[in-house]
Amino acid sequence: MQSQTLNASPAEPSVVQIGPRPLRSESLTRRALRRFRRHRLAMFGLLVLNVLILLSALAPQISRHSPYDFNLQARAVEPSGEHWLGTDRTGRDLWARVVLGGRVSLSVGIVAVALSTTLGVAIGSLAGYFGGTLDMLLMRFTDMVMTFPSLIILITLVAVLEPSIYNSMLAIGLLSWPGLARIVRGQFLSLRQAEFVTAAHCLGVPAWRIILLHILPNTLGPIIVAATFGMGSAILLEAGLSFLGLGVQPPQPSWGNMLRDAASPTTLESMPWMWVPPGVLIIISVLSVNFIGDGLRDAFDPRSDL
Amino acid sequence: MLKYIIKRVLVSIPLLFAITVVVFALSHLMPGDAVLAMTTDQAPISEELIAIRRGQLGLDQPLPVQYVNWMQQVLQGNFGYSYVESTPVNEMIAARVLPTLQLMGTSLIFSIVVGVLLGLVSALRQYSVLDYALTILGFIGVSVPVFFLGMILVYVFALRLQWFPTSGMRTAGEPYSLVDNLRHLFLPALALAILRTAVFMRFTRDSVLEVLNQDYVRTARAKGLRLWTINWRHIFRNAMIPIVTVIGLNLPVLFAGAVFIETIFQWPGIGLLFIGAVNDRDAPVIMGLTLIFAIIVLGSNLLTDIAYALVDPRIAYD
Repeated sequence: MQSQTLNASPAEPSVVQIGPRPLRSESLTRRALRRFRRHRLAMFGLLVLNVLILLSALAPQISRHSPYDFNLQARAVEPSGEHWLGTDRTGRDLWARVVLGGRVSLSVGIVAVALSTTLGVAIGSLAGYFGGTLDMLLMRFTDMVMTFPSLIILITLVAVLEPSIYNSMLAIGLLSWPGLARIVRGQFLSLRQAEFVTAAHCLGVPAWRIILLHILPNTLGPIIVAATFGMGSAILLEAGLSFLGLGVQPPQPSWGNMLRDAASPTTLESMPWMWVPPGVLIIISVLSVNFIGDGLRDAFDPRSDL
Repeated sequence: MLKYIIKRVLVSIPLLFAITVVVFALSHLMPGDAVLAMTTDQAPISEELIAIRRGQLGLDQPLPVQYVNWMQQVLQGNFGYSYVESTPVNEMIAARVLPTLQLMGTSLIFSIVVGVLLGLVSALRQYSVLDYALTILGFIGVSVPVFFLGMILVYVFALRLQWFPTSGMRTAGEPYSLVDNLRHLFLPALALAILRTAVFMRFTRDSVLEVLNQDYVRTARAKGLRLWTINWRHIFRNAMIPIVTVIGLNLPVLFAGAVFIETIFQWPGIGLLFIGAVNDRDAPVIMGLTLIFAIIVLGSNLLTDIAYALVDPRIAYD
């Protein structure tokens, strides 16, 4: 590997080549993409996730009934040609609710991860680049947030903020960044000694440009991998909060609160169509996100040669 | 070694202190306080009386003073009184500790034993059908919400097959018997254990595979040692080192899972108490439980570090 690697250690002078330029076969991104496409489980996960996104984006277009309207003539009916997934005790069409619920799960996943990734990258890169007292302070803060019993604080935080979909996104995002901050800091610590950073320094490039344009692009691999796995756990956390009644509030459907609606033993026993589909969809979406994350990790792993 | 332990304990103290500040701040953002909790709409009290009572309880003092007062009480082991039940928070928590310990202890032991064994088998038979099947199962295991798994178990084993009761810790109205208690314990403990088993299995597999490629394993093979000796002495014992960490880091997750499982199975542990307190916005109970959870997390991190240093002689203590 003559090109600069993700973990270019400061001791290796291979980043700056003196003499004839080595033959460059392909860029890091291209290589990662090529490896990713060969990862069968990841491609399968990507396909499934896209289907889920499409279903929830088109939710109103692909359901024949409203997800909110009661229909007292059709209460608790089994799945049929008319109601594909049956109806609940007030006659609401469950197919319409399940596909609409997908919007909640997926959007909470995306927004919460966007928030935690921004925080993690900002804190990790500042700590890693500047070092010293700032690094010490930021990392102690990171340790503290990491030590929080996260679900417990999350539940308390959501209860204080009043339960809603936006507060779930906020709370999940605010508590999920420490792992990423540590990864990014580690990357910055090793890269700030690299020759191309020293060169940028000498040219008088301002610190923010070095951080954003010189170092950050070299740490994208681990960030993308962490963000993908983060989305899986954010979907699970949202479902958990809604299941406890602290997330998305009825009548708006989410997979978590649909499971809550069906948690009583009588409903569990007599109306399995009420709780099996949302539960299975949570598993499928988290599973496909995790498959994608696994593929990305293999694709970006600088140690493996495929 | 003792120096290392003392140092780690000292590092944990500021963290614990910071957590108490956060817990105190959060609980003060909650609507209501101890005095408002005592008044009801049926028996309204005059504004004056409320002000006097607040003064007696020190609730009119500035927040930092209130924090110091609260900490003094907490350090003496007094978490105050529940707004809802009017009983000491200590007593409420103490009554709920044993059921949670029983639930968590059972599932932790089950998941460690089964998870480590499956991971070991999976790694030693890498690329076999069994390995692929276990890997896929492991993936599914970390993607299933624990409460959905609980619902499936209730549906299949309690409602359809009727092998186990649906909820509670023992049959109401009957004298306590161990068999009855264990029958109630089985499903919630299993639900909690299955997901952790998947996690421990994946880590054991990775860790064993890492060790398999080491030179000393090749040397052991080249010496012609018995397979069992290699697997046990050279591979398993070295592979267990990182797994100690994973087990420690999973204790808080297990606690979080207990919150859901206790809710579904109405298991009278601290998880159920916590959710009840959150729904009632019962601040003293929430504060007390959050602090206890934080101490458990810090304590398990500490134990993990110490255990790690004990099993891995390469770690320098200072």
